[in-house]
Amino acid sequence: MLLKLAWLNIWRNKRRTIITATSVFFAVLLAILFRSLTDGIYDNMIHNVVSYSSGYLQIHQKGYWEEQSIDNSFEEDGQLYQDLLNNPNVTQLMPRLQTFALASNTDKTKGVLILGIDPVKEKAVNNLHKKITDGQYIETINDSAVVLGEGLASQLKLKVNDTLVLLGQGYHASSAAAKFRVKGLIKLGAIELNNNVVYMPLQQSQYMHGAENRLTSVSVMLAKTTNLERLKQTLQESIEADTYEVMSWKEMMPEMDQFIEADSTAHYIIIGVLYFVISFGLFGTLLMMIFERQHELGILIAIGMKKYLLAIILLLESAMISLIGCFMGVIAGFLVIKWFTAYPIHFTGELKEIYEDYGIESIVYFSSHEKIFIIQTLVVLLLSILLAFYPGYKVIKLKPVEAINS
Amino acid sequence: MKKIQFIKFSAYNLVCIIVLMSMQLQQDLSAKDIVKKADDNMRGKTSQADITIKIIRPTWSREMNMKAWTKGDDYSMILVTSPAKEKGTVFLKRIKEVWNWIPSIERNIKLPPSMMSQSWMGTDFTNDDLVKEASSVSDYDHRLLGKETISDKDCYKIEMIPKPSAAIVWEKVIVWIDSEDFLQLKAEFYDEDGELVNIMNSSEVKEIGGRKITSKIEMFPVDEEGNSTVIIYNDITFDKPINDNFFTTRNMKQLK
Repeated sequence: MLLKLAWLNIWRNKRRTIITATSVFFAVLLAILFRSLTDGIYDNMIHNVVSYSSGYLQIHQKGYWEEQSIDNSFEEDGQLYQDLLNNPNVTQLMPRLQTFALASNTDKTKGVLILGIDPVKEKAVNNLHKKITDGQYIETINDSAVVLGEGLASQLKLKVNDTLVLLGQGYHASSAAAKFRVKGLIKLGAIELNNNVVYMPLQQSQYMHGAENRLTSVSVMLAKTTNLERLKQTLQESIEADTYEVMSWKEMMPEMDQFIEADSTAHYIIIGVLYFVISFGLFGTLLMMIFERQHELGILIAIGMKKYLLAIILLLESAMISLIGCFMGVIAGFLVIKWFTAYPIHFTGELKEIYEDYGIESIVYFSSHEKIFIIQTLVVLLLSILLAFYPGYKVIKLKPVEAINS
Repeated sequence: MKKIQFIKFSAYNLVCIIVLMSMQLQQDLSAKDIVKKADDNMRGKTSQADITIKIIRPTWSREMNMKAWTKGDDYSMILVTSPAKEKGTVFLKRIKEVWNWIPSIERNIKLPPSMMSQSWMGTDFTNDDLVKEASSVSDYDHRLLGKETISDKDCYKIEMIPKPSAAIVWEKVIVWIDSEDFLQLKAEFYDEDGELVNIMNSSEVKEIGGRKITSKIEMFPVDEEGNSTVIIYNDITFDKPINDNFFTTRNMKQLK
């Protein structure tokens, strides 16, 4: 009965209802898009960074992280790959042998990071071959050549086809010394990597370090990155827990996690302001409604309508309008995000260059986590219902005589 | 204290042997004389040795074979003969310089001072141990602490404190020298805080190359349990003349 009354009431003045519903609609739409955009940018950033560095998750020999020495490497194991790939969320595995060495050319010497990689797998994940600025990318795991970061090459005054001399410590205190032809130069966004990295085919690196078939880590790329911690648990349980440790990028790169956290806080403030503006818009329309209907409400009370019932009807009306607005907002937000997921925005010009300098794709992705829709809609709905208590309060306070005469 | 003198093996000095033969002088030997005798026992004008070095770690171990040539205090050359991957690597000590020839990169590297305190070939010896100029006789003040028995042998226990002018990192070194053969059987190295850092044990006295020497030397770093390095002398020849020209950077590249 009350529901029906409320429903009929809101359609008595269509224009008012539509205006209110529209303000809710825009509120929901904006909140959803804003969250989706910032989350999308973060996800993209994380994806870009982890695909070059650690992967979302990384498997090591137990104890490697505390003492990152080649002596804490482990034997490459097909069973481990199988166990990891059995998880439907795991998309790619990147085996790596990571060591430090001295690199030298004529009289220049510098400490470098040697990443022994599987060039084919690496290429599939982070498009390494597209970052080559000069020369060529390494093709197979035993290609006898290396790819250098551009910054490193210029510090050592090396060009494509020059010889790079490497000297380091190998597995179990053997010496690791080798010469390699520089096959290509690569430009990486992360300055630290760009100035220090030597990409070496995995087998060459294993041979040079006397560590045949050994790896320091396997980086794991994931399809879905929500519930990272739970996934980490699941993976840890699926592999031999005594031999391996699983770490997430948040543990391995706490500085990036903290940066995102700090940046998010700023976005929460902006979204807070957005909610504030939305609330006032809603409040305005509710106030207008109450004034317009003062006469009518006065008469209803005068002829014996209970005040609290009337308040409930008004509350229901607001809730219905909000629901309509939210529903429309979610549909519109969903469509917009679908559109932008299919056709992401590509930056052009200067902005594109800035992004690429940081090694991040110049594309704006929207995140389509259902979490965003649910949370944003709930927040707006809650706000509008809270605001709807005001008309109810007004009705309780209403003096029928004054109202009728107004 | 020169640990390296055990690696490089100088020959006896003949005079010393004669002195030894004439015996019975030991009774009133000073601490310094004892150390000098032990020092002379392990060195000669020249030496050529065949050495096996074992690196022992808690979870793994590794063995290397080497040939070593020495001449007096100033020259020594070490050639790695196995494992295959490191075969042909050469270390040359010429007076105070150390050179390292690495065939796989065709580079001859002069070890900078900053690398001197780093491990030599992954062992418990440092690069510095290779070049140490200090003489256990002239750069220390010696004091006889008494007699102790080490592996059933009567030993002089001698405390050696570096002279202020000597460039030695230890605060003191305590050595145990066999009172019969005058061979150093044990040494303890203490750092500037008086903490025991390394223990070196010498054992398996054998007659090789016409001399009685300790053919096995073990080095134990005290703060790393389970780690040690063992040097074994398989063969050694003393006092076979070697030309100074042998100890050159050019010769390093041709050494077999």
